[in-house]
Amino acid sequence: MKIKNIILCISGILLTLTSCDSEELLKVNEDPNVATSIDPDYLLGFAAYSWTGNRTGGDLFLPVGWASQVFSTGGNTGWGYAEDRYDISPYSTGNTWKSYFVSIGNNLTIAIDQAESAVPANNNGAAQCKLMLANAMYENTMIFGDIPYREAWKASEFTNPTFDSQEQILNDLLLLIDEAIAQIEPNSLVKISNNDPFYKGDMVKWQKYGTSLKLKILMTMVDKDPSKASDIGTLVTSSDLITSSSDNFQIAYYDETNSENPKFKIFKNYSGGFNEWVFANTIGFTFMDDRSDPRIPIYFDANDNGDYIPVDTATDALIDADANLLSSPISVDNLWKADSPDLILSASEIQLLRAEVYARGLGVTADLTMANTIYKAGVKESLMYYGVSESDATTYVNTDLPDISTMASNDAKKEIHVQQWIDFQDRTLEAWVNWRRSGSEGNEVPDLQLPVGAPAGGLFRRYPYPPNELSANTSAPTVEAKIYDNLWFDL
Amino acid sequence: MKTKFSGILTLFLAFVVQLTFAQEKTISGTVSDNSGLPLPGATVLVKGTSSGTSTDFDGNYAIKASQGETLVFSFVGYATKEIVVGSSSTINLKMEEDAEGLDEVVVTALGISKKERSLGVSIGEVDSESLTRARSASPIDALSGKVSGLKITQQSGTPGGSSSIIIRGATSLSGSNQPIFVIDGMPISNQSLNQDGITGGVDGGNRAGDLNPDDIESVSVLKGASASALYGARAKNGAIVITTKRGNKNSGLKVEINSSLRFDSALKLPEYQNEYAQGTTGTYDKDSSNGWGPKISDVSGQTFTDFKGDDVTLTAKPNNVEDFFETGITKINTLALSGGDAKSDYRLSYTNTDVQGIVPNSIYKKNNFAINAGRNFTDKFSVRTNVNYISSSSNGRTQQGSNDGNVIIDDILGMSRTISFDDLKNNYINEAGDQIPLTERTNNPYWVLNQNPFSIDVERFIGSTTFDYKITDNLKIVNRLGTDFYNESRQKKYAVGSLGTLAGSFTNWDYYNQIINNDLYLAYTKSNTEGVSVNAILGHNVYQTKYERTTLTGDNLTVPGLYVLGNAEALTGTDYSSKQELYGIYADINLDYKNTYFLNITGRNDWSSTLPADNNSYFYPSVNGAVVFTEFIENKDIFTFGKIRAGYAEVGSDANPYSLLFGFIPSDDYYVQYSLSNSLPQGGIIGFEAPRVLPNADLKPQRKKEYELGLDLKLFRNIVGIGFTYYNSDTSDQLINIDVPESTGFFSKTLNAGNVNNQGIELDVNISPFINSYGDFQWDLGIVFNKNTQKITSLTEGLEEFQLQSGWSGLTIKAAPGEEFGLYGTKFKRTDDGEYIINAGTGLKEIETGQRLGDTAPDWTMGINNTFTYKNFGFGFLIDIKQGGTLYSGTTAALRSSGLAIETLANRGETFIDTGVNEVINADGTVTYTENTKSVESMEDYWAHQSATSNTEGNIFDASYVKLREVSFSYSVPTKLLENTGISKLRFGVEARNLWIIDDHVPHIDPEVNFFGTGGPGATVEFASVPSVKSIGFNVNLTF
Repeated sequence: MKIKNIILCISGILLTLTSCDSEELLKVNEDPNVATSIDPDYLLGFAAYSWTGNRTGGDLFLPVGWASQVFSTGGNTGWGYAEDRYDISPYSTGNTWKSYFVSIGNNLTIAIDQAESAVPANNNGAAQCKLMLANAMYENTMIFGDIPYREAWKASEFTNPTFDSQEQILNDLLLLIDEAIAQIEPNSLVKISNNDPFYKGDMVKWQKYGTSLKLKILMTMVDKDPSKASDIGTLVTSSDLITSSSDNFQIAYYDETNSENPKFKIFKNYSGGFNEWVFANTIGFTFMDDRSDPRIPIYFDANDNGDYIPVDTATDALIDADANLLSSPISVDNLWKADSPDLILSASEIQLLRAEVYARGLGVTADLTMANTIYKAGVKESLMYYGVSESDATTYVNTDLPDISTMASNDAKKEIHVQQWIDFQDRTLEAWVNWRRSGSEGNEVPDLQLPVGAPAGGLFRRYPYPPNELSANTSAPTVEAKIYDNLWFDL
Repeated sequence: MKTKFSGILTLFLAFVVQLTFAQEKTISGTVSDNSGLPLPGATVLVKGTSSGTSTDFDGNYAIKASQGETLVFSFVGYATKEIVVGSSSTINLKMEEDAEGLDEVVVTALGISKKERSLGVSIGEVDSESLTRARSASPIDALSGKVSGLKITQQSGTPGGSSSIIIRGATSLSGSNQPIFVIDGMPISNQSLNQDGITGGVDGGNRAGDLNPDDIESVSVLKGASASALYGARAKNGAIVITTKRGNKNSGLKVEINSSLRFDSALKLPEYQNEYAQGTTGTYDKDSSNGWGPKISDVSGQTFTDFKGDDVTLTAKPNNVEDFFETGITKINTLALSGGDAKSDYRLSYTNTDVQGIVPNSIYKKNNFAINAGRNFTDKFSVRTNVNYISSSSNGRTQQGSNDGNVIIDDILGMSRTISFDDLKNNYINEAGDQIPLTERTNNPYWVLNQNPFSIDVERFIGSTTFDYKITDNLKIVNRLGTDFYNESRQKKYAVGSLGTLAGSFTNWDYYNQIINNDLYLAYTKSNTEGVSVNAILGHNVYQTKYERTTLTGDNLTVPGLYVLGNAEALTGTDYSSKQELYGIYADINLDYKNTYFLNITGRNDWSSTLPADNNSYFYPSVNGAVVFTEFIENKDIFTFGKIRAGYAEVGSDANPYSLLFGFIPSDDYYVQYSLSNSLPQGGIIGFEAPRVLPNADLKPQRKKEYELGLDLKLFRNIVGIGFTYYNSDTSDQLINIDVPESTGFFSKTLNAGNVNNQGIELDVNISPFINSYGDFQWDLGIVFNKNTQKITSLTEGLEEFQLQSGWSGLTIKAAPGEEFGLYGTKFKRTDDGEYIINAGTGLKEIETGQRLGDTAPDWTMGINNTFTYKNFGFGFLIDIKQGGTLYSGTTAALRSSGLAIETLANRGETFIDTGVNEVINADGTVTYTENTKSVESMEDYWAHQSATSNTEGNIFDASYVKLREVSFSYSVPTKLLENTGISKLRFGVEARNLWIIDDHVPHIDPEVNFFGTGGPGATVEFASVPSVKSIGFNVNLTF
């Protein structure tokens, strides 16, 4: 009987110990791997690097660079022959969409809510996130055209966000920027500072960035919607624009393992750090060569004979009998260094836009002299940014650079677009956007031709929508978007 | 729940009734079967009276009777025996089997034995002999073709690789369709991890493969929901219940040695063309490993640069791929000691498995230690302990899939016809120790084999202890506490100088998985003289699982070849842990009336930690019954035994941990295409991100409902046995993550949706023509057959398709309402009449994406098993048939598009016009078709299009096969020859596994393969998988 009692006692204890209490059970299900709340600072940190990861990687930077003929693949010799001929992988369109909507958009939207509902409210933090969001969604609509915006990131309310028109989105983004700028409290210490990879919480710079971004968006819209000219006229004289490279909106990479600029890392991982796959494109190179541009040896590598030989789009690069490259690759020692930052909005870009405003008389009286001065300042800023010394840059803009004040207005405008193309040789998305707004169809700068082997239809003007969104979103357009379709802004 | 519980309790207590007996002399004893095993539940009656009793769990009985009265002992399946009471008050009885009865006992849920006769549902049973007849290193493979309703698919030829089991069709839209494995009452892990998935992941095996087939006494396959209702949600896909071998009580030391030595070779290798060298458009190119170069005989006088940079003449190497694969050697050695005294029994075993794979440098070693020991401490109290310790290590596990420099199988199978592997082997590094790659972007395979082996080490402990206490002769309390935990360490290496990772890198994965399970139950058994017997269980279960993972990647190695964290310039790490708990209360009541009518009722209520408070308690019942109708037939010569049965059951199941609430995840990296992702923090910037799957706080349990009907027959005095079952199951409210528009900010959201119906038939036929002749010759023919039809009856509103698994280039496995799980991808366009539409400009077929291409599951499966014995000789073979299903072959795609497969010789250099029509769009917008007259540019263009990875249809095949799965021949040395040797048994055997693909419809590869692993819906997709192996070997079984 003794054992029986022991057994019954132990059984009783076991049952009591292991009885189930709903509260206890719910505690077991508390996830030890996640934070239940988080400061907006860290959501911004992730969004920022996800953004640049896409901007500099193989889903956006490289395909857009090849398809818009900013650089060349070298055909069978290089990498990306498919993209050269407009074969953009659904992974690239899908990853780009994911990046803008999930990694960037959703996290910034949550960060804005967190910042505004914090006590005290983190108005600066909200403004920082809004300006980033505005820039990212500007890029998103430049790539995909009409996209969900007003109903995006409201998963419980809108399970199938409707696609807004590009015009409406761009106007909404202008309002978002105004809202953000109004929210900035330069003297407040409540802001995202240490974890701000762009300006470390310098709100004066954020304000300049917001104003500059607004000008950039307006300049994209003005050809389609001339009423934007007056806003441009007001902005172009603002002292709140980025006109010095020290105010550039950019994000840093480092010469450290797994912190390198992806443009460099691809060669580090796949070809021993040598670029044998991506080459100077004849179009951009010719612009530079014709103007004796000092950026040539910075952008490109000479061959063993000391010559610079660009490659035509979708054409094999040149190799000599000993299999040595004769064509000029993009330089991984200069332009695509490990620690080259990703430049998202720059002083040279804003100055060249301002020069364009004066040359075209957008909201101001046309003034080619003023345009020439600012154009020179813009080119000089670009030269210096890419490593030309200030004295050489000054000499170049004063002696070699064409004087646009003496040109016909349209030629002056064209010359500014040429400089924009050169300035954007390492910023393929900006180059592509700028090319599409540089003139009506057939009058763009440069005058691109359909690459050999590309499907008939027209030049590369947009990414198709990714299959995932089309299949999951009942509000998605039912007519297939073609790679050559003009977006709203693209005349 | 309280009401349900007290209801069950009341019902249970209602059977706890004491029967009273007449007062005379007490006779007691033990009733056992032929082999001395006690027979519980045997009836003992005093003839001519209503006085009777039944034996307890240990076969003991006690009954009052007077001297001269006759005791009648009866038990189903045994001949009734009458004994007159003499002066002794002890009567021990060994009962003889009755030829007409169905005597077998099967192990059911919770390890409880039931008479097969009493079962209302279908349970498959495999004994130790048929598991080890042609030994497999894995107990799962050994079940193939032996149980109806089971589909077993070996996933690759990797030593220690995984095998998938799907019982009665895949039911789950998400996650695993694998059954639970239970060893001696303890549920164990059958996890299969593949962290890298389709991009260079390895077949790391599944944990059920750790078990040692030599330790297994029997395997019961509980197929349906009703058979497994007592295990709850864990058994929603069925249960494989394993009973391990024990020692015999009252026996001396028995030593058993079982040794096998086997030689493995690739079962099927591609057929190559041997006429063309590598290159494009007929021009040699050393950096294109393919067959579109010049015709070798046309360039016999010329020299070309090879991968080493040497100028060589080109000659075909027809056997190069065959020569690459080595003869694998498998050694399985077991030493088992067993015995026991009057109160105890024990069995200790050690098995060493040593496999050298067919891929050079691939090895798998496994050591199994097992103890199974029990002791009756008193008449009432006994304890049994089972311990398994398993230590396995493997090196050189082949990485499969694509997008990883270490994936070499595609390069090996796709080797240029002019390159010899000896040349590659002898020249994989130069004098400086740097790699000589195959092409400028492809590693030399021997560089990967020698420098970058993938290793896995597993240390595992499975243990359980059962305390058994008899409160009365009819009531006992049992507690079984067990645990299963393991550590698994994996390492993936990229030596300095590996293409794609030139600076060197390695990743360490450390996993810890733990299960703790406790069952405490009361078991009651009672029979009365009216022929009513009751067996009932009331139990409580606690089940807890824990999972931890730490991943560390070290990049940029300072000293080549040193894979320690301190040697890496940059380290990135992630970790994850999860825990879930489940509590259950259950009851199982079995009623038996006159061994003719049987009824089984079960009920279980679970409380799960993974569901929200409102939905975390859920009840599910089952009921099944059987009637032995042959009890009503006098003459049993034709219908020797017959039973009809029916059952209905429900199973509820819970969600994955942490599916309910929103949390922010610390980001350790950010994505960059081409495997260029960078780590966070970067430059001091820290990142956190919102989840990508939108959690759902309103989840409820998933539910499976199943009914089955069956008929069991034994005809002609057991010469023919037939088992037939029809089943129909619905799995509804499935817990799935459905894709949402990414513009919502999320990839997917978790919800309850969908219903999958499976219905089918199972047929087991056994024919033993000589069973009653007791001659020297015996022949047993066993046939198992299963036909399952799956149908997705609904998804969620607005969802037309649900992606179950995703490959690449458009290949996906999807569920769509009204269909079975299907393989989807790019299809060639056809007219309404079924003619191919050919592009008039290129002469190549037009394509359309996202089309259904076929069902993933087979239409039916069958196993035909023959065993012959003549005196001391035994011979057996097993044929395994799978009919239907669709297979995607990445290897065939690659071999054809690269011009290496033999069929690509056709029409080379000739004009080839593909059969089909051109689409003509007329001015009025109507479409007409004209016969295609446009020839393809070249056969290189044709195959590049026809068999492009992205043109799925060009690479799909009928997955049917007929295989000679096992062949064995044995000779037992006659006992008289062993006299005075100390040896009691000596048997020699020749055994072979996977010997021959008798019939298949896939070129170049074995159709039994799946590189997605065991976790998903069980598709057959092949992509750079290690070829499966055939084995032939010898076995010696020696017992002292």
